[in-house]
Amino acid sequence: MCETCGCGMTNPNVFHHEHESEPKRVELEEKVLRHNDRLAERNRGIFEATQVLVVNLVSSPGAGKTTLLENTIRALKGEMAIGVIEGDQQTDRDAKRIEATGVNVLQINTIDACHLDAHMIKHALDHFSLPELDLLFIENVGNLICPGAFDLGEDFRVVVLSTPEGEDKPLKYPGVFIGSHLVLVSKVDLLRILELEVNQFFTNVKKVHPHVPCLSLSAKTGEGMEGWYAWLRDKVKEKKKNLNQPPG
Amino acid sequence: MHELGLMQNIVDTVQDYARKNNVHKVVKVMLEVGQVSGVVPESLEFCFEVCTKQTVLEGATLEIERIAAVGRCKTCGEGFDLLTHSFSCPKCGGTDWEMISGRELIIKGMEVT
Repeated sequence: MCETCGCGMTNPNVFHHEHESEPKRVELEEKVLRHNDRLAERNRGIFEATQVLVVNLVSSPGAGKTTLLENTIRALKGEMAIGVIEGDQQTDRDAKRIEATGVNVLQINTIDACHLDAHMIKHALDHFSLPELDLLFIENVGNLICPGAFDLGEDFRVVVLSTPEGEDKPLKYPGVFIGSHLVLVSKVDLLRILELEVNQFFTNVKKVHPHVPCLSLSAKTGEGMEGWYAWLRDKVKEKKKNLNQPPG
Repeated sequence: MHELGLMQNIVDTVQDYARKNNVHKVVKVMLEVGQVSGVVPESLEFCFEVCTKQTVLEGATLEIERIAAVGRCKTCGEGFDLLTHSFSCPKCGGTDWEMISGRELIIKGMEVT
């Protein structure tokens, strides 16, 4: 018998031996992104308290998010106060374009990261006086996969799908569409050249996310932009109404 | 490609548990990864090796369970694999469904000594 631990070991030449204990199974059931989710909830609380509508714009690189924003800001800045957080791996090119429209903008360079996360947004908020804003746009890093996994605390995630990308993108990259609240099919002025119809895009979006509202527009020609502005006006109003109701 | 950052989160969580519970060694980590979570399991495996070097997880195995993207048809109630059936119900052809699973990114548990 082992003299140290009393186990049934019979070899008399071994005075003591290490016991390899059996691996023990531990249940964790922990979300990998719990830290991000917690910070996103904190951001959401700040946006609730300050009554700012926050829209997270997600798309592939080159889908036209910045042009869409430039034109949207020029059309709406007379009736609401707008701020913009720009996310790109490198450069402040987009921030400069937005700055030229006359609104407050902050550029985040993610360097290696392929998406914005709630922590980056939390720090970016220091740049803005939120109670003075009605609408804050977050232009995410151009990427149709990764930004879909990261909640930033936004009210709405809007996916911009430009027609040259092809009508099959929702089927190929369903994750980001499934998590969206609105899909904008952009650059519809190119449909004729591409020999595509806007309904082909809508059909595939609805396949992966049956009830998501879809709009089609062209920031270049202005076609369909009124529908997008109406959606924004409506949501800004709704956000304020939620807090203006007396507690009861 | 955000798997490296995700894996660092996973390793941090496991190390945190190990520290608080006097775990000598972690021999296995079990994950659940949904099919439309935007994460590539092969990349996670690669990053696991890199991130666990010189930690209590070094040499541990990584077990990844892929969770199918499953929807329940709102017309007939059938549950079906969304990707295999191109987002249409194989029983009634319905295209209105609610998502049951497929976006998971969960540390299920671990084996420790």
